[in-house]
Amino acid sequence: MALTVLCISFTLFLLLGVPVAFSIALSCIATYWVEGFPLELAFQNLISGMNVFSFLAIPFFIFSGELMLHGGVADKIVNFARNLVGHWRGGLGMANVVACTLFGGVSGSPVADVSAMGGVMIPMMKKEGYSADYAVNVTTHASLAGALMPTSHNLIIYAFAASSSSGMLLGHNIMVKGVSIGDLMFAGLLPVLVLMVCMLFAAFWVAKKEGYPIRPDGSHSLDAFAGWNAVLTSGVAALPGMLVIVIILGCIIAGITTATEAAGIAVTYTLLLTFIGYRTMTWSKLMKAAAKAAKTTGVVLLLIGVSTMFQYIMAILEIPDKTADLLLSATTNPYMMFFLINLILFILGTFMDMASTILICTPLFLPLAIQMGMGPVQFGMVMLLNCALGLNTPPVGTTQFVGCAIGGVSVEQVMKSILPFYGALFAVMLVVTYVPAFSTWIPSLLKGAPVF
Amino acid sequence: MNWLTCLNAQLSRWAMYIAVTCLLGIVGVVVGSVIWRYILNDAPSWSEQVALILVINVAMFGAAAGVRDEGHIGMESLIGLLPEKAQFWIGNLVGLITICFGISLCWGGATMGLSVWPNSIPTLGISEAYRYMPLVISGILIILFSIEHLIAMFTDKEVVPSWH
Repeated sequence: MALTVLCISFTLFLLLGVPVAFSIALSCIATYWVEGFPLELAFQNLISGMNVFSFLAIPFFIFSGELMLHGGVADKIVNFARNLVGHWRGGLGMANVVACTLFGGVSGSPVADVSAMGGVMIPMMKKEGYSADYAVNVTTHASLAGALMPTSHNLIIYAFAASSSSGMLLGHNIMVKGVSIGDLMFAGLLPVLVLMVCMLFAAFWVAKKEGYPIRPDGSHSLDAFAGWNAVLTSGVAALPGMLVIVIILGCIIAGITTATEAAGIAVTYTLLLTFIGYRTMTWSKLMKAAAKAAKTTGVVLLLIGVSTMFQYIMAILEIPDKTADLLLSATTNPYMMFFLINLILFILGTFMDMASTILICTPLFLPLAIQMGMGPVQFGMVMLLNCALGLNTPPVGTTQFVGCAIGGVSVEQVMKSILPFYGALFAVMLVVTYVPAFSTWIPSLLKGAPVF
Repeated sequence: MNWLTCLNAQLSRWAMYIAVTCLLGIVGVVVGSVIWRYILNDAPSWSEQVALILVINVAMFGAAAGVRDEGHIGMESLIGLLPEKAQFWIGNLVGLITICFGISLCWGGATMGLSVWPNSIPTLGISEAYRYMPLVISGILIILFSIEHLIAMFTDKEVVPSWH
C-alpha cells in the first residue's frame, strides 16, 4: 500500500510538472502518513540531510564556478587553447574542446562551462566559417568534462547519495560501504582525459569531412601557427585560473585540509584571483555571482534534503532489494547487467536533471552494481557520464538548450549532426563501464591501497 | 495584486540578501578555521556548527527565492504538448501543490522547532530550534510567492524576478 502511494503520487506530481524537490517531499510525506510514521520525522530527515559538514563543498563549488564564469577567466583559457591547436584542420573546434575541458575543471559544471566557453567560442567559430550546429555540438559535448572534474558539485551529490549503500563486492570479497569524496575527485581525472581525446577525434573527423573552416571566399585555408612564444605567454596568463584544480587536489593529497575545506579555499582563491590578480571582478558582478550561487544552492540542497526523506522510505519499504530482484530476473550476467543499468540511467537522464537522477538512482542501483562487482567509485563515474549524456539529449537537455540559445540554432538542427559526438561519448562510456582501472587506478595509486 | 507584488518583490530581495550574506559567512567561517588551525594552532570548536546553521539558511532562502523566479527544476516537457487551456489549469494545480508544500514546511518546521526548543546545540549553547526556523520562514515565503504566481496567471501577467 505504502509503495503504491509513493510510486503513484511521485509519478503523478512529476508528470504534472511539479518541481522534482516538491514532488519528492509531498509524496514522501503522504507515504509517511499512510505508514503511520510521525510526520515530524520527515522534516527531521530534511534538515539532517542538509546538515552534513562534507556537503558544504556543494555551495562552495557552485559559488567558485559562478565566480569563474563572471570573472573573465574564460577568455584567457580560450586564448591559450587557440594558440595551442587553432592552426590544425578544424582548429577552432579542437581549441574549443581543449578550452571546454580546462574550463570544466575550473568551474566544475557543464552548464557554466557551456555558458562561458560557448559565449566566446560559438560566435567566433560561426564568424570564421564553421557551421553553427558543429560549433554547438563541439561545445556542449566537450563541456561535459565539467561533471567529472574535481571541482564538480555533482561528485559531492553522488557521494551523499552513495553514503548509505553497501554490499559485498563480487570478485574481491570485501565489504564496501559509501564512498570517499577524495577518491572520487581523483577518479574523474583519467575518464576526463579519455573524454577529451575522443572529443578531439570527433571534432577533427567532422571538420575533415565537412572541410571546416569554410572561408567567405569558399576556400578552406587554415590559420597560421602563432608560435611557441605565443603559446607560452597565453599559457602563463591562463595558468592562475587553472591552478584552482591543483590547489584543491594538492590540499587533499598533502593532508593539509579536508575536501570541504579545500573547496572553501578554492572560493577564496578565486575571489582573490579575479579581484586582485586579473582585476576583472567588480562588486556588482560579485553580487550577481553570489546571488546565482545562493539560488542554485537552494535548489540543489533542497533536493538533497528531500532525498534523505526518500532514502529513509526506500530503506523501510526495501525498494532497492525489490529493484535488484526485478533486474536480476532479467539477467544475472554482470556485463549485461551493467549495460541494462546504463540504459535505464540514460533514459531517466534524458527526462530528469542531473542532481535528481543521481539522488534517486544511486540508492536504487548501487547495491546491485556492487553485488555484480562494480565498486562505488567506478559506479559514480558511470552514473555521472550517463547523466552528462542526458544533458545533451532532448527533451530535457540543459547544456544543449544553453548551447542552442547561444548559437541561435534549433535543437532539431543540432541533432542532425550529433552522431559523431554521441559516438565519442559512447566510447568513453564503454571504457569506463567495462574497465574499472580507468576510474580506480589514480585514486588507488595515491592512496597506496586498492580503491573500488 | 499590486501590494502583494510590491511586498513579494521586497521579500524575495531580502531573502536573497540573507542567503548571500550567509553564503559569504560560510566561506569566511570555514577558511577562517583552517587559518586558525595552522597559524594559531587552535581550531575553534564552534566553526562547524555555525557553518551548518548558515548553510540551512542559504538553502531555504535560496529555495524560496527560486519559487518566485521559477528556478526549481521540473519536467515541464510533457505538459507543453497539451492544449493551452489544459496547460493553464495544470499550471494552477501546480501552484496549489506548491502552496501545500509551503504549508507543510511551515508546519513541520514549527512542530520540530517547538519539540527541540529545550535542547541546545553543543559548542554553541543556542537552542536546536534555530536549525528549524528557516523552514518556517521559507514556508511562508513559498506560500506568498505561489499565491502571487496564481494571481498573475489568472490576470495574464508575468511575475518579474526581483533579482536577475
